[in-house]
Amino acid sequence: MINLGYLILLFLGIDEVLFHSRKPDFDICDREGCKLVPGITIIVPAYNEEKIISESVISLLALEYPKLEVLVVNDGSSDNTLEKLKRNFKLIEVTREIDEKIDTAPIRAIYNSIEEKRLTVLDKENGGKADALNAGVNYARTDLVLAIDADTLVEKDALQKLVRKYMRTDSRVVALGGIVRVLNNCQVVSSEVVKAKLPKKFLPGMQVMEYIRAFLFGRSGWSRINSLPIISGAFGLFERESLVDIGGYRTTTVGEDIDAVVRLHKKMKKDEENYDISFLPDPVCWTQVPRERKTLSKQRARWQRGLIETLTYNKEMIFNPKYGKLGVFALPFFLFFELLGPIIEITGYFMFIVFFLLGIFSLSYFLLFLAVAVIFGVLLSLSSLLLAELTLKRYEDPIDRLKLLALAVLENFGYRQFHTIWRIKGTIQFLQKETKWGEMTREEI
Amino acid sequence: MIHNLLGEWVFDLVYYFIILLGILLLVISVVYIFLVYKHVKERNWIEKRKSYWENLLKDYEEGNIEKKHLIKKLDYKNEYLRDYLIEQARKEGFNRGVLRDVYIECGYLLEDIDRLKSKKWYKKAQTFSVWKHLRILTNDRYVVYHLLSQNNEVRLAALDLLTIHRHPILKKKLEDIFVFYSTHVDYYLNVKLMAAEIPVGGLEQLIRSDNHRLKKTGVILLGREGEKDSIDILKKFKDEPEDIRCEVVKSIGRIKSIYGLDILKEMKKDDSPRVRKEIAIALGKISHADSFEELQKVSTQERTDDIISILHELVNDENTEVRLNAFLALTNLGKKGREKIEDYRDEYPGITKEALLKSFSGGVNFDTI
Repeated sequence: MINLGYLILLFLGIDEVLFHSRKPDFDICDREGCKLVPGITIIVPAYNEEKIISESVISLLALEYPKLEVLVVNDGSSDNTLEKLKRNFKLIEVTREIDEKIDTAPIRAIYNSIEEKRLTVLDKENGGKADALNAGVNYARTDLVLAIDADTLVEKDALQKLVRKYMRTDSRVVALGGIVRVLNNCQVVSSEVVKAKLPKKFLPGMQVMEYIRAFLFGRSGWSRINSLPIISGAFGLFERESLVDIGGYRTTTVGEDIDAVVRLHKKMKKDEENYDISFLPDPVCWTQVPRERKTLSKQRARWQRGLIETLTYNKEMIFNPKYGKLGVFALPFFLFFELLGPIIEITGYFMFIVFFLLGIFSLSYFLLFLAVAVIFGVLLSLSSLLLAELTLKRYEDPIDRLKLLALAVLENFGYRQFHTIWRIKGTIQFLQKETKWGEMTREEI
Repeated sequence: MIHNLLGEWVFDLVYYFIILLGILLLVISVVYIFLVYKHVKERNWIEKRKSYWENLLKDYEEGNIEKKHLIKKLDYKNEYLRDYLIEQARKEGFNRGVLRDVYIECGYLLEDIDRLKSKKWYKKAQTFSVWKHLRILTNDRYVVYHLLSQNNEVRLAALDLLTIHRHPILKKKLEDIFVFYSTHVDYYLNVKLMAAEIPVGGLEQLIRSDNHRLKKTGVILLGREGEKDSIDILKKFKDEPEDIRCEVVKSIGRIKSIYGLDILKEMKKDDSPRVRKEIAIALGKISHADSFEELQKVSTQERTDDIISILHELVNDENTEVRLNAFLALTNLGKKGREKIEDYRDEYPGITKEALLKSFSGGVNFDTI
């Protein structure tokens, strides 16, 4: 059943990616017309990001978009994040009125750069990532806000690609997500990825394969039927008004990104709006993924916790036809395959071993069923890889591309099982009512 | 045990299923490896070919080679040449006329026309897009017909093509376009039609319409830099609903002419803080470095004083956003603006400090935020 579900999603994903690749490109600016494009505020929540914050701001300010404001929200960092920003961008304290439609932790001060007028820094008491994003949404004066992580490297034309979709869609676009790729080991010059390379280390390499699969067929597939429940917190464009309408990001979950998207669906369905929440396979941003097993395990457990929290908060939507395909297909899929999937998988492994030891199953039977599960996993990974090869050829080196082929096979032996265990850890953390984010280590870009 | 329970056939079924999956896996892997190989091989070949084509086109541009020889040497039956020509047109790498000539001479236009017979939406949309880059408009009645196509992508592609050619039909169909197209694409329509530079007279059917949406769009499209004639028309809209009044002020800001001052002066006491805030921003745009030179050349002392006097009132506005933008607008008025800011140092210490610092570093460009 699980495999069949993924197979359907794969076909939907292929259809969606092909649909996008067939669309001709359009300029959003035509001479004077550039002055009429919607403004975007990029909200960068920053908690102890002193290592990367300056480079991140420089790269964001260099994005090719005519109406841009970069808003760094310093979420009560205990390191020198704010001092670094003050020093590198010549910040001065300014007076601004904030439209406090969403409750947040108190704002200490607002800074504006003398050198770069498009840069503003909000300094606030610590309240967590969702709270920092909410402060940014309150402050923003533009129609659109882009929520990103401080370590995200956005490609120069990514905003134009997102806005093109926003401006040209025949329905109200309330949220858009782009593809997130792995930055580790890529060649970066002037905050721009000039050559995509596969990470040398095993774990980040595995995550490359995982990201390709998750984004290219997972999100594209859901997007095809306008039931996309996730837009990555690392790179998501939202209509500011809609975020305000749903009361901003929920601060009591670690999965604030998925929760916000699900609530946006809920609000739009309730209002009977002709709306669109899409994933675009083309605008790319790059992010550093964990190199160490311990960090990766924490991250995955947190993602799982975020998913369970979201499904719990929005449980009335599951199997509810009032919420269309999202309620009938997408959320039940996440409930059974993503939430309960790891438990079913581990139980399956355990039962097979027990049955084998008890003599209920023969060795050939055991191997046969194990082969089905493994081969199907490889099939899904390979199909995504093929789709990536047919559409977005990001990795130029043929050796890297062949390595990816090997990784698509290898990830089903060991990595996938570890991944399942980390997700179960996340489920246990949820049951223990853990609310911490856990420390994430950043490296300089 | 389970064998006996389920029967041998289940075992066989799973076994054959695995074989099937295995074959599928093998096929995908082979296709993938083949694609990687093909791409690498092609990439090297195309790079070499591109520099060859580039040299030939340069020669043609400089008149060193005749067209018929060029076409022969270009090896036009090669599928990549078409993509190369389109890529160059997009990047404006060569003179568009040259690229268009070569494109037509190689027979790609005829292929395009053939492609348009297809029922597939993307073939039409892609063809219109290619023509846009190469500035080709053949059979324009066909393109105009697709301006009201059922497919959103096709009609927007047709609009894109017609606007780049500033096609006269746009004047006649403006109303139809806005009525037929969804309100969600208004942003796009405005950008494209602004670029089409439809003369003020051509916007009349929108401006005079009773339809709120059309009227608002007309007001937006009147705001084109340097279009001073629009200001007289915009004056007539100062008593319309708030959102249209906002657009009136924004359009005046985009026109960036001191002739817009009178209407801003009349509207400065508008009940809506949104409108008053836009007035401050518009004054900032008019006073910005780009137009400041014009201001100094054309304006009399009186005109500059007019700006300062309007901003003086807005600086004392009850709304913080209006006050802030008025101060920021003053930063664009050089020494005179700074003197005015200094007057408020005691009353608003924070905001005057910021405004003074910004004034010394060149003022605020309201176009970018």
